[in-house]
Order: sequence, then C-alpha cells, then structure tokens
Amino acid sequence: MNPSTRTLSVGTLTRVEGEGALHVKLKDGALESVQLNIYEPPRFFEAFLRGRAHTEPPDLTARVCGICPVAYQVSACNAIEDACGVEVDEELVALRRLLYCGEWIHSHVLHIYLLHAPDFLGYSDIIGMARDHRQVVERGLSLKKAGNQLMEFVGGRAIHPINVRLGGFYSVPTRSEFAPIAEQLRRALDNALATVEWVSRFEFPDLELDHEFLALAAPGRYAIENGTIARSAGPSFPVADFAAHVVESQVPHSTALHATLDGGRYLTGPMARFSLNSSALSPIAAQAAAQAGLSAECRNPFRSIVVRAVEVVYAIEESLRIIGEYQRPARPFVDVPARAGVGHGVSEAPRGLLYHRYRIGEDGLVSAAELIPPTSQNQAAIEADLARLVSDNLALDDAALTALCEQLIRSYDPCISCSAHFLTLTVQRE
Amino acid sequence: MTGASGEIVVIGLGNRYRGDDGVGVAAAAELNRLALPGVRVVTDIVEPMGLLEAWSDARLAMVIDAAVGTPPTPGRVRRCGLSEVVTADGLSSHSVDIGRTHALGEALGRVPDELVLFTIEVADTGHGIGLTPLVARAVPEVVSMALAEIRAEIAP
Repeated sequence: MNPSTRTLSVGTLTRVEGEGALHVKLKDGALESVQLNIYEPPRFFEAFLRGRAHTEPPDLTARVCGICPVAYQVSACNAIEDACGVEVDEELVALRRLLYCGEWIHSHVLHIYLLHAPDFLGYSDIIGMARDHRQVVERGLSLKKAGNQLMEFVGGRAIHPINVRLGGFYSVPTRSEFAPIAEQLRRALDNALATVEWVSRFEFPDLELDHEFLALAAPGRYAIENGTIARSAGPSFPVADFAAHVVESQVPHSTALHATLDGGRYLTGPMARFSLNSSALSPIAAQAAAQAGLSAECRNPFRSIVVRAVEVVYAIEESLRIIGEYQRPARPFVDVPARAGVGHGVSEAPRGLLYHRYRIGEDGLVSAAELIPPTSQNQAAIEADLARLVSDNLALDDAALTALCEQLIRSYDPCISCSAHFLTLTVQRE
Repeated sequence: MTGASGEIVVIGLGNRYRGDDGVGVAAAAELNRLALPGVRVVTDIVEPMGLLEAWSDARLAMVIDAAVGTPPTPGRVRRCGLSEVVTADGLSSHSVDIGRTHALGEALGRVPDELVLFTIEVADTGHGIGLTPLVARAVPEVVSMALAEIRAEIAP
C-alpha cells in the first residue's frame, strides 16, 4: 500500500437521523477538502405548502421530523399568528412551552443515551452498551419515556402531536389531570441529574471552535418556544430581520442548503443556547452545569452531550414549574382569522433555532413559505470543525480518524431528514 | 426473563396510509375485534422502544409485518424466526428493526418468552389507504395462523 494515497470508507454512518456522507480528502499528508454530503432527497415542503389554508402549516410541517415535530408546529404557529396579528394568551403559551419541554427531554435523552454515549464508552451501539451498563440504559429509557408521556399528555400523542392548532390547542387539560405526569417528572429529575453526573465523567477530545453563536433569548428565562435572536458577536435582532442576516445558498455536494450569518459561519443548537443563555438557567440546572465542569460558555462540541444533559434537567424543572402554576386556560385557543401579510416565527428546536416565514394571500392561502432548520444552518460549521479535527489528528490511522470524525458529527446531533429536507464516510488520502 | 404468567401480545407493524404496508395493522385489528381474553393487541408502534414496551412482559409475542419478497409473491404469508429477519447495521430512531430491537431487549432482559413473526408479502406500498386484493386475501390466513398460535399457547 502506498502511504501517500489512502482511501478510507465507512458504510452508512449510524446513530444520526437521516442519510448522508462525509468525504475527507488528504493530499501529500495535508487536508485538501471536507464535504458533508447530504444526499437525502429534497422534500419540497416549501413548495407544497403554497396554496394550502393558513391553518395547515403546523400539522403539515410537523411531518418534517418525527423527533422534533413540536418545533415545527410551534415555529409555524408563531409565524402565522405573527402574519395575522394575533397574540396568544399567556397561559396557552405556557402550555405550548410545556409541550416543547417534553420534546426537549425526549429528543435530548434519545441522543445522549442511544446515539452519542456509545462513542464515549467504546461501544458501536446502544445494544453493546446495554449489555454492560443495563441500569444506565434503563435510566435513559425511563427518562425518555417521561418526555414522551408529557408530549402525549399535552399534545395528544408523542410523535406528530394532534392537539396543537393555530392560537393554542384543541383541548386543554384540567389542573388535577396533571398529577400523574408531575409525579413522573419529579422522579425523572433525579434521573436527569444522574445523567449530567454520568456524562460529565466522559473523556472529551480537545477541540475549541470559534464560530459565532446564534440562539434565541428571552427575558428572565431560557428561551424555548419563542424569543428574540441573540448572537455572540453582534447585537440581537428581531425575528422579522432574520432573512436580512441569515442567507441560504446551495452547495453542489448537498441537498440541504448552507446558511451564513452576515456572511460568516455560525452555529446554532445546545452549545449556542447555553453559551448565550446560561445565566437564565434554573438554580438546579445551573448547579448541575457547574458541578459538571461547564463554565458560562461551551466551545468544545464533544462537551455538547453535557450541555444537553443540563438542558434535560432544565426542561424537567421548567415543566414542573409550569404545571405547579397551571390554571386551566379560559379558552383552549385564540381565533386566528386569516389576514394577508408576511409572518416570521422562531423557536428553539432541540438541535437549534428553527425559523419559519409565511406569506398569506388575500384568499387566506399560503402564497410563500420558507423553513430554515438548524442542521442546515450548522452544516458549514460542522465541515469547518471536521477540517480542524482532521488537521489536528493527521497522525491517527484511518480507522481512528474516521471514528473521531463520526463522534464529532454525532455531537451536533444532526437531523438530516430535517435539513434535506446522513452518513457514509470516505477519507481519501493522495 | 418474563414469567409464564405474562400475557399474549399481538403487534401489528406498518403504516396503513401506505397501501399494503398496513397489512400487519389490518391483521392485528381483526384479532383485536375478537377481544380474546388475555390477548393484548398493539398497533401504534413507530420506534424500537415502543416494541420493547409492548412485548416486555409477554409470554408470547406475535409480530405481524409487511415484507418485500424477491422475486415478489404478493399475499404470501410466512411464519419465520428471528434469525430469518434481515437487520440493519444500527438501531435507528426512524424505523423499527425487529432483529436489532430484540438484541437490545435481550441485553436489557426485556424480551418475550417466545417471539413469533408473521410476514405478508406486499404488492404496492404507495401512498393511500387500502390493501391490494391478493394482500387483502392474506389477512384471514394470517389471522387464523395467529389464532392457532394463541390456542396452542393457552391450551392446558
């Protein structure tokens, strides 16, 4: 074998959501290119939303993803309610936030235990890990179930909830009906704290990224279901200005669009959220973060598993707070009559900021739609981090380098189904 | 391990909005209509953990699912073992892989005492509700095979 020309390929990269590939090209011992190739076919959501009633996008766009349907529902509701000039009652927004907490718990726990932890513990998948760490995996499954059941209780079902509508919900629970869910969440909080402690003891490869961070911010709380747009290297801006700052462009090697923030690379997701909003964490979540060794900012993507675990603690605490203050809303929804105009909506999906924009015509139908999911926003940053990781670890053999790249990719919890609307890995050395 | 006191679970997998892919759900629904004592029917499983939850305490679990044959023989019903099921490389949260899910269940001690799989070969899994005629005719056949398994299990 000629050491200057090496090609390394791995079959489908597992433990990511969707289909894609990574091509790394090395020439004369130096990195030449890294391409994150998302080949999952385009899904044309933005096209088929045109001509649909203004009430339909929350249900239709929920189908973009089985892991984060609430994110799509909420961003769609926020955008259309904005277009129609409707403000939703505070108690209904709280219920929306509660449903969203369920999605954060379910999605983050799925990623922590089933997709990412095996990398840190030297297993190829959850099955091998479960053989040696049965109680740990059972803890994860129990925690995930708590998130699923919260979604089911508020949203009607855990995947693609059916109780969400423009202006609120089709039906809202009574206070007493929350009792079993609250009890389950109280037990889940202990499991969530144990999860933070568990992942904080993993060994994290050295890598510090310098991307700008973009995440929602909201006064006095960790932004989830809405907010203004905050960034690490510039002033915040309103949601309506999103398109003026974030520009999507097509790249030949991906069916998902790449995005830039004022022309620069940026990152959205748990690390951005935590770094911009860690002061807004609840006391128990903040204490768990400190005990896990996180400072106010996290720039090592491998440590994002700890951030996710802290966010699970937060989501459970926040759920218990909302349930504790809950009074059944006077009405389950606010009417949202169609009004011609443009509306913008954002929310913090588990993987990062999700932007929706709709134009509603005089006929009450959607005449234009734009969805910008977090994974496509993060693609350029993921490629840059892979380039840096490969350059820093050229001495590793192909197998070790490939494994490290896969671990890094998984640390972004990329959802290719969302972004293409992921992953075979090829390393080519010339 | 689960005890012999566990119930019998019938699990219909598939998407009834994708033509013949819904045949497992259709067969399970037929069994549900019979309201057999000690038999639980589950048809809303969309991820591997749902399968673990459904069969964890069962003494007998029967999974009914659509299958693609090469060459295709639409409507052909097969009773098969776990070893005959083709499995993917990894456990995905986007689909239910019976073989991989069973392996995870074994690691966690969450498998039924006995697992029986019935597959029905499909003709058309395009968008829309409804089974093609050959596949629809296979539903009573797989129901009667499942009933025979249930009777054998509960027979003294």
